Amino acid sequence: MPDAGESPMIQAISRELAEPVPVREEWRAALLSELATTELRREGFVARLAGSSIRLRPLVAAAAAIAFTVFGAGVTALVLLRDGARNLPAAREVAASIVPSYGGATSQREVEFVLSAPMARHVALVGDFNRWDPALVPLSRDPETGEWRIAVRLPPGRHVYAFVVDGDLVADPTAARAAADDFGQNSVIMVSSR
Amino acid sequence: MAARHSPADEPSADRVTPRAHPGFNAQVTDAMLVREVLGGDRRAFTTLVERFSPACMRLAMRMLLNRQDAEDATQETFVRAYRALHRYRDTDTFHTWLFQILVNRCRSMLARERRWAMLVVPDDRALEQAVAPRQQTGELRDELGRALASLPTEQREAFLLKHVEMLSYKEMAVVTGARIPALKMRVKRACERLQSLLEEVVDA
Repeated sequence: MPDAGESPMIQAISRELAEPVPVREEWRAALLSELATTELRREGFVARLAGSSIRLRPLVAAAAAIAFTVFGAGVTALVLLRDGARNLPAAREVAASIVPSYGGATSQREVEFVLSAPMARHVALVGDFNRWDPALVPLSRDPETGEWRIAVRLPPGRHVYAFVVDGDLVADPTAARAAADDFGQNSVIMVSSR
Repeated sequence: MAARHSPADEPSADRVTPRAHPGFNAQVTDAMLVREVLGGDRRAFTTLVERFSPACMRLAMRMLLNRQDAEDATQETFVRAYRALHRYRDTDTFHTWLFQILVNRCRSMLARERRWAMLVVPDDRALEQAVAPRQQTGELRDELGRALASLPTEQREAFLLKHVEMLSYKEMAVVTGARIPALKMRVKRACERLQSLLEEVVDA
């Protein structure tokens, strides 16, 4: 007696359902970003995690958890010093120098993001603050310099972000990397609370 | 450190499913990658993400039937797997272990949605009307989503694991926590239901 599972109909259904589902680059970036701040437990070693529960909706909650665990001034200085040979980060506060914050402050600061990409047709900003959605924050192109810019209000703390340039995910080439061990492929900006 | 990657030491439990591992490098098994991650090389986990996110996304999409939920469930799965990596024992394949987490995430998500949605127990007549002949486009693909949605979640889950993800019944038992006879029954019922729902499409 033939197994119902092997009928031509079931085979056709299986083939159809086995079609691959595309994995979005932004999704992957968001996952790697979250993993970069997740402590790996080893046998007998209990690590303190960024948050005790994994809640992904909204992602702002994860960003807040990340901001909360921000680092003392020493580690922040380390983040910036590692890239000391580079130019100043392309993302900079309009008002003043970047100072780390312990979070908790509710006032947002205006941050300008700049990317030099004269040949690009479309540039968007994605990050933990906008759920890595490239449709939300497009940059505007300066026709004279070929630079793309956008000013965004961000809550104080640490933020992970990247650019989507003509569909490709690109880290900010002049900013600090998202994790000391380069686990993530994204960039980080610290926003002060003053 | 020298003998870390000796193939002779590897358990035979690693299974290769061509669909699941399009870029599989036979030299580096999943269990080896797990050991590297636990040994301090976090980037090895990225390789595991790359190997398994297509299969995870596929199962989650077919189970949850919308992309946002599938992405959330898959993301949660990898984060939980990462946090619990020290508990992985290579008596099961990594694939099986990971899918166990994924199936639980999908079930949680479905249960959450059920709590919020108006709970309607589907009866056969209502389901038949849901795929009424006049609404059918005649394409298998178009009707498949609706047909899957009409399956009870346990049957949907069992069907997908058996006929799409190609797990053995033993692996399915680990992944779902159900016993093999029950799983066989779920698969059989799912096949019968899908067959009858979609025969109308093909004949139309």
